[in-house]
Formats: sequence, C-alpha cells, structure tokens
Amino acid sequence: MSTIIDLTTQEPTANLVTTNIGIVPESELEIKLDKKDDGESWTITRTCMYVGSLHPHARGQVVRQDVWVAMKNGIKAGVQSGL
Amino acid sequence: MANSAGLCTSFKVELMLADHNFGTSSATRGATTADTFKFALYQTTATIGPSTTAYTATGEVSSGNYTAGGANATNGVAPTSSGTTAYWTPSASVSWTTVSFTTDCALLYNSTRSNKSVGSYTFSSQTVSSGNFTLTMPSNTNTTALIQIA
Repeated sequence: MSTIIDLTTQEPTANLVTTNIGIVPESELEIKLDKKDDGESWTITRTCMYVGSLHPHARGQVVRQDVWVAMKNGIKAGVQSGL
Repeated sequence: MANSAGLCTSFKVELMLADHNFGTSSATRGATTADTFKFALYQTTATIGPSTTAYTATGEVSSGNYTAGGANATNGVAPTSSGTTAYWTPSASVSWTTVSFTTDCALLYNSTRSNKSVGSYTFSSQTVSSGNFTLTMPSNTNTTALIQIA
C-alpha cells in the first residue's frame, strides 16, 4: 500500500551546516571555494563566513573551513643507473 | 627547520630487511595479511622528513576528533610494478571530520611494525576550522604512486 504525501503541506527543509557557533542554516553562510595548484598538489578550500542574523556576534567571521588536498605525485626512491 | 618530503631513509633499509608488508603475503615474515599503515598530520613547525625513523607525537596536530597517531591508510591494492618501477598507493582518501588545525605534512608509517616511518608528504600550509580535512591519494601508476621504487 503506497503512502500519499501532500507536498503542499511540507515545510521546506534547510540545509544545515555544522560550524564553530553551532549548526546553522546554509542560507546564513556566505560560502567561497578557493582552488589552488601548489605544484605537487591541488588544494580546495571551502570557507564559510557567517552573514546571518541569528548570531550577530559572529557576523563577518569564518565559522567553518574545509580543506581537500589532492596529491599529484608520490615520491620516487632511486634512479636506474646507466652502466 | 621545517617539514620536508621524502621516503624515509630508515624505510629503505627496512625494505631490505623485509620489515614492511604492503601486500597479503610476505615470504620472509610468513604474514598473510598486510601491515596496517597510518597517516599522521603535523604542524608547520614540526621537523618531519626523510630522517624521521618512526611516528612521533612531537609536532603532531591536535584537535577534537583527531586522535593522536592519525588515521589508517586504506590498503586495498597490493604493490605492483610497471617497467622498472615498483609502486603502491593507498586505495582511498583519508579524512578527518569536524577538526581544527593547521598542517603542511602527513607522515605515513607502519603501525604494525613499531610505528616505523615510511615517507613524509608535504603540501602548502592548510588551515581547517570546524571542518573536514581530506587527503586524496595520487593515481596508482608507476609515475605518480605514493611510493615508487625505481
């Protein structure tokens, strides 16, 4: 038996983000992605600045920062000598 | 001093002593399971490098949700070779969730064998704040693998 969901009565679900001031709606954050090529690796930094009104003391502050480091190359030991 | 990249010199010696087992068999040790390898992260002020002989807590990052000693490297693919190069790479990224620290170095070490070091891997200084830190492995080929022995 299937369940019928009346979408007209559903509350919109906000995406929530864990930050250093607690869990806040994503809509209260200004999120920036910064991608860099550091030679030996690529890095992606996602910075979340608080721009909402629920926590006025935190406005303009970075409340979360995620980092991804993708190594391009490992390390090679030894070089084949030509005799 | 600062962190520097390189396979640890002690690791090269220990390879000759059959000290490390990256695969599921070791003729010398009779092991049928691979050793457990781990990644530990270090602050930019640490001095991890090719001369490091074993994991150390000195200079290691500290944070809630980061356990001293770091996290396991996923070892799903045994060492192999192509041409004259033998190589191995962990088969998955390693990540830490909801942590806060600054780091520029990861030390790979063998926690099965007295925490003997394998190699140190450096990158530009990265600060994570109440967020996730993910270290993605290079492609497992003879020219890009995490460990290559030519």
